[in-house]
Amino acid sequence: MALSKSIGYLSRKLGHGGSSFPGLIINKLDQNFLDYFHNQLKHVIMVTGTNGKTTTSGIISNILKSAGFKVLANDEGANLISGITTAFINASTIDGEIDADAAVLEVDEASLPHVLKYIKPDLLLITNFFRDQLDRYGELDKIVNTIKDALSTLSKNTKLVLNADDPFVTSMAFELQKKVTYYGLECEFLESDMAPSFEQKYCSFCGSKIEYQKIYFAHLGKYYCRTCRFKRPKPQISIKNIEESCSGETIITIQKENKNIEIKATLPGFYNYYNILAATSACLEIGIPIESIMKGVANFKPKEGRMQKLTINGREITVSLVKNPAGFDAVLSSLKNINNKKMLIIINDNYADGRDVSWLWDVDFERYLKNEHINFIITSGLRAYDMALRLKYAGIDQKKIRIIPEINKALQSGLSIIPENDILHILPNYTSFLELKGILKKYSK
Amino acid sequence: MKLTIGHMYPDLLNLYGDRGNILTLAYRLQARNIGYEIKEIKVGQKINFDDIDILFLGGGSDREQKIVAEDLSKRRESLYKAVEDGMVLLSICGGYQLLGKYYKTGTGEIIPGLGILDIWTEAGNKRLIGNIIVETEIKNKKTTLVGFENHSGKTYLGRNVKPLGRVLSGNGNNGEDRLEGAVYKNAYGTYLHGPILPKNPLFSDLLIEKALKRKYGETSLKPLEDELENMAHMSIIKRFLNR
Repeated sequence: MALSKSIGYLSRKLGHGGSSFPGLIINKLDQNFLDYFHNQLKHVIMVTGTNGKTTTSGIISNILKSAGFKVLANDEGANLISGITTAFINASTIDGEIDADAAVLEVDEASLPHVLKYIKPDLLLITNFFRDQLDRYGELDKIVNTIKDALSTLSKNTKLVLNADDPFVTSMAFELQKKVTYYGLECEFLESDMAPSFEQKYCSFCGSKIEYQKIYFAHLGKYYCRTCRFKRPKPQISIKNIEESCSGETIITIQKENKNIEIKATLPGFYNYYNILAATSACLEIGIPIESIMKGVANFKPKEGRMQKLTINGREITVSLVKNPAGFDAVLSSLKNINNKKMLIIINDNYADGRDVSWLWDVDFERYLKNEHINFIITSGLRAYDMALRLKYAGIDQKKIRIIPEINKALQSGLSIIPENDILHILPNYTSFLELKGILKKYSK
Repeated sequence: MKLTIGHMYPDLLNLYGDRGNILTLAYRLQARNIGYEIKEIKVGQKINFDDIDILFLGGGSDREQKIVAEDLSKRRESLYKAVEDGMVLLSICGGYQLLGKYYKTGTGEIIPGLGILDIWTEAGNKRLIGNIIVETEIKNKKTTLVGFENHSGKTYLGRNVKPLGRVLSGNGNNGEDRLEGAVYKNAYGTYLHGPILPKNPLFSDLLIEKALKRKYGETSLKPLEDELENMAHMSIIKRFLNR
């Protein structure tokens, strides 16, 4: 233990970010040590899925903290086995005792089966499955199948909390002999909304087309199979109402067993309501008091990259991570009503991003970006030119598009053009976000 | 002048941003004041290929592909006639494979294809994935095509088709013979996603020109300002060629 702690310290000193490196080494040393830590914890919660897992696990951590728990989390976005191991090591004392009583772990969906071999959670939450970084993982069907297999190895005592609105998620549990808690939207006022990132789903059991009575977002909605018994399970925990006020505060009414809970949230955007619902459901399942849930949601501050606001040289910036079409759509939709927008979009194609950037053409720029609302858009990163071309074909005036591949220069240029007290909206994908973070650090010094 | 673009199974074959190809054709027609209509063709929907000037068939994951294959087999005769008649057809990845004679699975099972292109595909044990650069000739001028390939099937060409080009970087049809894609009359098959058309404006215009010529006789296309397209194209050449 002392060895790996000092490795973590060293690698942070050396500027590796210290996020996954010691984990890699310890995994080689002792494959069972995660189990050892696990026994010292009251709650071990795992969150997986394509979108929303960082925010959802962040909210859960915050709620648990409000309830008086000391929480261990892999909150540096290091969600492979190595990163999770690192989180355990960082929370441990030098003699191997763990200085926490609950763990909230964000787990990469492709790594979940592997992670489950070492850590058995008390509660597993699955948010959704979207097409994401396809060339790294192979097709979604394959991931869903391996997770399905992994779920059947979990003990009876593991609580499953699943998104009822995603047929990919629910089909995994449909035949599982386990009690499942489902969460979902039951808002009558929401209208169906079909985007190009909509992926037609087919029933995993009989192959027929899945029909929708209502589509909330992308392929999430109320659905049923035309031919067999498969359909959306009725959620035990649901959002009944969403009231957005102009002050930026939202009141979400969550219902469980005919009891209403009103939760105040400051996180904007439709996808965040899902995250809040997911986190609330998980916490209700492990018996956290409602007051702590309300407090934990209300004072939750989003992670870097999730629409974080910062001030640099008197200019405000927002940073929102965009990793796949549905996530990109969601961010663009939250910026939709801002006039005279100044934007910086940074797209890399490193391994962790997925080498293929074709998905940019599945993002609905045509719907969310209107030329007359744009002041300028700088495109940057390894795929700055692809991004610029995509904007051109979405009808953005070329005079408003500037291409600056080097990220630091792009940021500098963006900050220098905007007037004081104005906002630059930055949309990086994964590795460009990490790069940006490094650059922003230098600014703050 | 007006062209009708047929988009086959947009709800099923929607992987890898291939709808960018439709956006590109539409944009380049509109920029030249040529009218266009996009017809989405879904499973079971009646369609007369005589009404289509440019047909697009993309790729999808295995399950979608199966559904598509079944539907296409019912349309085989009319599609075959249209291709023989010179209809412009762009097929990508899974769509390209389906147009061939057969697909041989890992266990040796033969799944018959449409037999419209003289090609066949065998399951490979390695995924051929990454950026790809192909050398080709458009209107007797050497040029390059850039894109991204992601397939495990290995495709081989028969005598009745020509390759679309020669691989300069990447794998192409099968990772063995350095050939990429297939051309028969005005029908094209290729493994290039990216999508292929936005960053390869010469190829986009070739498809448009062929469709116009078939419908209206000899036409010449007004050149467009393609600076951004060419820069995006060149950024790939610079990064991935001669590495």
